[in-house]
Formats: sequence, structure tokens, C-alpha cells
Amino acid sequence: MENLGLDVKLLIAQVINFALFYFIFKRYFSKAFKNYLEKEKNKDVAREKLLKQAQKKDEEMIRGEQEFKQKIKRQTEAALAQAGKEAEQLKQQILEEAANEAEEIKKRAKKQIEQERSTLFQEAKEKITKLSFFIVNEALKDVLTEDVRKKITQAILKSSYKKNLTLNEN
Amino acid sequence: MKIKARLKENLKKYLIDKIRQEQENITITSATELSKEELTSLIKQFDFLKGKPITNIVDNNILAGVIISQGSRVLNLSLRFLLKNLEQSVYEIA
Repeated sequence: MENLGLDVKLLIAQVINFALFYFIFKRYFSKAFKNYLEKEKNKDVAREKLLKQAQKKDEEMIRGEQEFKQKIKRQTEAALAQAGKEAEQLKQQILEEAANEAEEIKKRAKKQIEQERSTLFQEAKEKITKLSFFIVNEALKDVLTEDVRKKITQAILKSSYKKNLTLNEN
Repeated sequence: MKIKARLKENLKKYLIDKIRQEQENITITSATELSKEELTSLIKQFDFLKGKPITNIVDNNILAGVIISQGSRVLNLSLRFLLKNLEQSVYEIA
């Protein structure tokens, strides 16, 4: 053994040393170490689980966000469509009201024109009549001679004869 | 200003007499002066003229015919009045 370069005593001491180390380690440290490792493993598992959950939640959140965005988009589109429809209705209503109002104004203007025309016609008629009779009156004043006046007076009195005419309150 | 009662009474009497006189008096307005024959003819035609004082006024503006008036009462038989009536009728018909 010595020729091979091995020291038996040292080997035995090393074996005993190892056995002692093994015994002490097994007795006092292995359990704690094992627990530590177990804990670390459990933590790893939990971390893994949490990571998966987080990923899952993240995915859910992304999906939810997308759904929300789509929902918002649909609602916005619907609101826009509704607003467009209402605007169109309002436009139609305003146009109808404007058309009705215009028609009403037109009717009123037509009526007013008619009234004014009628008034003017009446005034013209009155003026023409008055003027005509004024001319006749003035012409008769100049034309009628005393003799003619007497004849007309006779004719008037003759026509009023037997009519039982009497004085009336002025 | 206070008016004496006697003066007031006299004024009242005078005015009443004047109004009565005016109411009694008949005025005939004509375009030409009426002759006696024409007046007689008129009195014959209108009984209410009989026995009343008549005054003849000449007014060229009535054109022809006569206007008989007594107080506030009038009988208009003038050509001007007839023309006025015709004017009114023309205006209403046209």
C-alpha cells in the first residue's frame, strides 16, 4: 500500500472524518437543508403557478380589453348611426317646417296683395266715380241755361207728383 | 258774470219766438227764381206748404229742381241731389 503511495492511517482518518461529517450532516443539517430545498421548490412551483395565473390574467385582460374596445367601437358606431339618423330626421323636420313656413308666408303675402289690390281698386273706383260726377256737375253748371233748368225742375216735380213726398229730418 | 233774471227771461222768450218763427217759415231753394205760377203749382202739389210764409232762395249750385226746408226738416228734389244719389248707386254697383 505504501508502495502505491497510499497512507492507510490517513485513509482511515479520512474515512472516519467523512463518516463523522456524514453523521453530523445527516443528524443536524440535512433536514434543514432538505426543508430549505423543499421550500424553494414549493416557492418555485408557487411562482410558476402565479406566473401562469398572471399570464392567464394578462391574456384575459388583453381579451377583455379587446372585447371592451370592440364593444366601445360597436356602441360608438351605433351611437353615430343613431345620431346620424336623428340628424337626418331633424333635418327633414326643419326642412318641412321651413317649407310650411315659406308656404304660409307665401299665402299671407298673396292674401295681402289681394287685399291691397282690392283696396286700390275700391279707391280707384271711388275716385273715378267722384271725379266723373264732379265733371258732370261742373259741366252742367256751365251748360244748363235758365230755360233748361226750369224744364228740368218741372220734370223733377212732375216725376215726384203723387209720391206723397213730405219733409224729412235732415 | 251774473245775468239779471228779467234779461234772461226776455232773451229766452226772444229765442223761442225766433225758433218758432223759423220753424213756421218755409224756404224753397231753387236754381232759378220761381215765378208766382210755379210757386202756386208747388203749393198745389205739396199740401204742407199751404198757408205758410214762403221764402225763395236762388242757388246756382243745385243745378235744377228745388229744396224745400222748414226748420231742420228738408225735402230735397234738386238735380244735384239726384246726381249724388246716382253717384252713390254707381259706386255701389260697380
